[in-house]
Amino acid sequence: MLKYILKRIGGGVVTLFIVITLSFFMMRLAPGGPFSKDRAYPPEILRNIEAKYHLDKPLLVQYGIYLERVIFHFDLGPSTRYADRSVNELIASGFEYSARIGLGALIFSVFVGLCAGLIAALNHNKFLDYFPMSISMIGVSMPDFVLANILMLVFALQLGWLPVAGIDSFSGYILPSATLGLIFASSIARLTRGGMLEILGQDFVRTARAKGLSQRTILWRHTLKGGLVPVVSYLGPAIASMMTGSLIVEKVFNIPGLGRFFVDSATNRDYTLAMGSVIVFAVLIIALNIFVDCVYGLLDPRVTYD
Amino acid sequence: MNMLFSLTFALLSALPPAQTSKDEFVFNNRGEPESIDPHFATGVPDNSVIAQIFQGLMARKADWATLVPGDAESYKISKDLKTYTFKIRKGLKWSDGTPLTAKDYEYSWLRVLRPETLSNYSYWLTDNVVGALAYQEKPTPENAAKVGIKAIDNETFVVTLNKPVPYFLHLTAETILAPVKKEVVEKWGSQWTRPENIVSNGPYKLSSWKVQDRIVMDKNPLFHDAANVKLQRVVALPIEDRQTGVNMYQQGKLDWSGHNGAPNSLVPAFKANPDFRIFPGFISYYYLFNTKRPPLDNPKVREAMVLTIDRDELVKQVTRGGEIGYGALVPPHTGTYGGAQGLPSKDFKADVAKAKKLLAEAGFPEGKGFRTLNLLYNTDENHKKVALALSQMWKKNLGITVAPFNQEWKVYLKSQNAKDFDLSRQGWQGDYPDPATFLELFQSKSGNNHTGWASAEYDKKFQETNNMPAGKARDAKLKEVEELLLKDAPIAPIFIYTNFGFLRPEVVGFEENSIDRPYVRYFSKK
Amino acid sequence: MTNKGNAAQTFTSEDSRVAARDQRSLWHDAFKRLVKNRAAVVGFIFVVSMVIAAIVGPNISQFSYEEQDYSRVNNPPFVMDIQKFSQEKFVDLIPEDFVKIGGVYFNQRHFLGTDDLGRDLLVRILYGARISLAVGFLAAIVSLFIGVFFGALAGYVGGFVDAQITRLIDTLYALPYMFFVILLMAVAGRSFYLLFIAIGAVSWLTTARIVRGQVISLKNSEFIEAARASGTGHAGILFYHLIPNTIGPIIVFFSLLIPRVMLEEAFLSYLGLGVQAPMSSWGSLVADAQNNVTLYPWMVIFPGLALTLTLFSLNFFGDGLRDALDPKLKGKQ
Repeated sequence: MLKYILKRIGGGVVTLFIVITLSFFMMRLAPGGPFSKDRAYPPEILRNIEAKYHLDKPLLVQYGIYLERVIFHFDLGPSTRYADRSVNELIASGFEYSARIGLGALIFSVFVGLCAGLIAALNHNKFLDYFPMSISMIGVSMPDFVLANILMLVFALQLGWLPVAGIDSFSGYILPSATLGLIFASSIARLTRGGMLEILGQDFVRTARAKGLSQRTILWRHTLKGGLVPVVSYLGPAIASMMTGSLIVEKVFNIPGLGRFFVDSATNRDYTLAMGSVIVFAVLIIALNIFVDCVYGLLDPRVTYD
Repeated sequence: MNMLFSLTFALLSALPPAQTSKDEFVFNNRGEPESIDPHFATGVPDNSVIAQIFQGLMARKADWATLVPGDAESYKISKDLKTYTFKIRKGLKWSDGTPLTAKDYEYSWLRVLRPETLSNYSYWLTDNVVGALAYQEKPTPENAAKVGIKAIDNETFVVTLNKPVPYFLHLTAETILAPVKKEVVEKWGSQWTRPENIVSNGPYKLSSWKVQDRIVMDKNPLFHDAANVKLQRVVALPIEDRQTGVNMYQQGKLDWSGHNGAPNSLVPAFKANPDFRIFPGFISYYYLFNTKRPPLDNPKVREAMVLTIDRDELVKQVTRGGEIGYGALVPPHTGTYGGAQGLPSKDFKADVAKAKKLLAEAGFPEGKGFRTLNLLYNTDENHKKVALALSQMWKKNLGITVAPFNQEWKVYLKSQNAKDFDLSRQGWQGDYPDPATFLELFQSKSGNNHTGWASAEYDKKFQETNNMPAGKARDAKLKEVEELLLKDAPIAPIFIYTNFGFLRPEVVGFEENSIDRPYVRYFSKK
Repeated sequence: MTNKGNAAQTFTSEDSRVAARDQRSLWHDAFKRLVKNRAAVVGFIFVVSMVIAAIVGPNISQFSYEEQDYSRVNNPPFVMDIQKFSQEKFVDLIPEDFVKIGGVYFNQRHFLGTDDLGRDLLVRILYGARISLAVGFLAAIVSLFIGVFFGALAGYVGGFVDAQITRLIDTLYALPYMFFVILLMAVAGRSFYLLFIAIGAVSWLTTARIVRGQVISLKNSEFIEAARASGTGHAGILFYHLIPNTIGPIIVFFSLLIPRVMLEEAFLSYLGLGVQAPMSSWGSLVADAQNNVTLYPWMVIFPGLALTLTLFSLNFFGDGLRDALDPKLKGKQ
């Protein structure tokens, strides 16, 4: 097992390296730079700014400088958009909020998704199948900016139960977590339903039923673990997405999270912040995938590691 | 439908009690400042913050247009209008308690000139101050001594100009020429603006700045006029989404919804709300013609297109933000300037008959043979509507096809700089209340002139206005300059933005000023 | 392998095609199961109707999707009281446009009302259907082609090639997708074709994984061995035997990919990176009208409904397909 993990980590490092390289060069390809402004800088000033951020050096040299800084000093560099902040601290502060919302979203989506999926699987093709699946379908049938606005309009503005935006208090976390969670809940529900249906149709379940075991015992002891396998493998990248925030949720509910950085840094051509965000996301996904694959083995005894 | 009717009604009826405290001012800054280094920052959210924590030689009243003494308690101007002698107040202190003197101003203004400061506005000094350009090109101590910026003693600061710039005092009130403390800047480098390092001289000081969350400024007890600063605290929130800003205002979390802090389409509905205010702004909205690309190189074609624009209908039906349809570049009521007329159409109204005639004279009767033009705009809902509306006007009335296309901000800037467009949208905000801040854009040497239009006569006449003292003669000359621009039509002026937003009735002292900047030192709460 | 070689010799390539034909009767079973799933059937009918409306609608309407009418800006589909509405909502209504039926004034000129430039909303929604469905379908096809190519290649060839392709897929998974679409659109410009190519290019990863999984599990089954033994070359095996047998999960995935892709296009429109004006997709209709939702909600509700119902239908249909092709499939996402 240990050898497997080490091998995967090794592969992960290679992947990370490729990701960094790809993103670095792709960002540079996009037209416009971090310092193009509507009030054009006089040429000498522009030259100075670019020199300060090493943008005047040849591309490969910049790449080398960047790699050296990241690998040996874990320093993601100064942000080009926020002149006195380092990318490390921007990401750290953003991640704090995104992670909290992500945790809330995770709890919400797993709870709602699992329940919906289980109920649906156990009542295949009846009303209790269609109904929870329809509700959870909302997450994948409605654009997230529509969903966020509807939830906000109904629960915050109209009913006044929850704050409209901002996360000063605990109640401020509810709507953003729920919005984000609902989107993932639908996939979890469908995967649970699919996985459970497959397991429930298998011979050993029929045997158990024939033996006279109660529905509940069948459910908990025999089928749940196997049925959850597809959910677990989905959760890996899903958690990474939840933790790194969603642009829409953060915009509508005004949360100082990481999600905005992804889109804004690409739009603003803030090279260092963009690279930092990409690295965080990649590290999370790679780590979570390795974790998920290990958990796989715990759930499904048929899986072996080589 | 009922839910939405009652929602609208809720927008127009009484607000819940404010959730902000009585001695703070919480507002939506509409974005995150990039920097609060006064010599470097250029954005609107940046300046809203800098205006609270820094002060220059002159200061502004809450109406922005009126100058009052700032750090300089008085000034003398020489007869030839080229030498300004400022008397700095005695006993001025930085927020860390150390004395602030004329020597700080000398250091600061030289810093603006130095290339490593990366100041986009250094041209305010290099164009106007003796020896400034030479120093910027070669910042040696010898050249520094030759610059017309001198602290004679701790209380006397002398500036020597190379021409009698009529609006120079206005420049000294702007944040670009605010003082910064030498020891702090040199010790901390680019980190000097962090809350734990920064030292400033304004009515408030920076207490904390959490990126994308909030900026908190507390009253500076060492400010020379601290006795008259009523509110203890200013909080700036960077909410970009306008609807979210309105929602937060409705829930009582904001005292001011911020500059244009409401969606345009809801402005007609909000107008009925007593908290909502709307008044003319200082941003001009126009389309650039690429005069190097035929058929736009023919002034008759450009004139025809300008005369087709029905500004009234555009503003009333399309943009709805209460904008002022205007056919000239410089907004009305800029200082003492009376405005220009330009193209011979009364009150900037559309004159389709004349436009058709001009187009035919240019060789394209009914638009025949006219190639499809593209129209560049940066991604934004409102710009899209204007572009579509104007394209339809041109199609219907002149028979020519204009195809709008949008690019995101950075790509748009690049295309504009590269003159890679037929028409392009541009908006420009003035920096100080004088027409020069707009007219200087279209000099042939201006790096911000993307039209390819160059007129020696325009350049000459404009420079003359910079050499005259303010007054009726200069205003008349400015009118001539602007009319040169409008007659040749390298741009199609469309409208002047208004400023609008919600302001809680308890807030007193926030006068309507054309750039909608809050000078919180004058505010109080009932 | 020599033992099996004897048995394999009795199979001819004719026989392997018979085996494939037999599989087709399983399609009949699947079809029967599908028809029993009411939600899937309703979904299918809805989507087909929408496609027909999209093709025919804009041609028979008297309005074009880009024609602006400033005298009829922000007109509602129906009102209770014309005067009151005009006053409260700052809209100039023309009474002749409305016909009173049962106490409510219905807009007989613009059935779904107009938008903020006076364009007919119904035509724009139908035109938007063309764009949204086209982008969805085309992007899904692009995604499919790339995914099937890489997945089949990786699964069939195995070994080093498989390892590299899997490594590639894992790497691409680790990239924040939105970030790259934004950059891609910035680098390559804004054309309609680029839009669905960009979306398709970042969505093929899961398709590839599924195809690869299927190919691997089928690679060593008997009928493939038979085909190989009877002399069918690699290409033949791939195209005649393997890929047709992965059609099941591919179709299911395809029908679930389309809604996902359409949502991604909606997000791009929200960012202003979708189709160029005056073209509009459902996503851009909703995104543009967001700020009007409190005063003029029909501009958001109707395109939103069209989008959501279509996506619902596609999702239900896809789910139904998957259930119907079960137990042949493993039902993995």
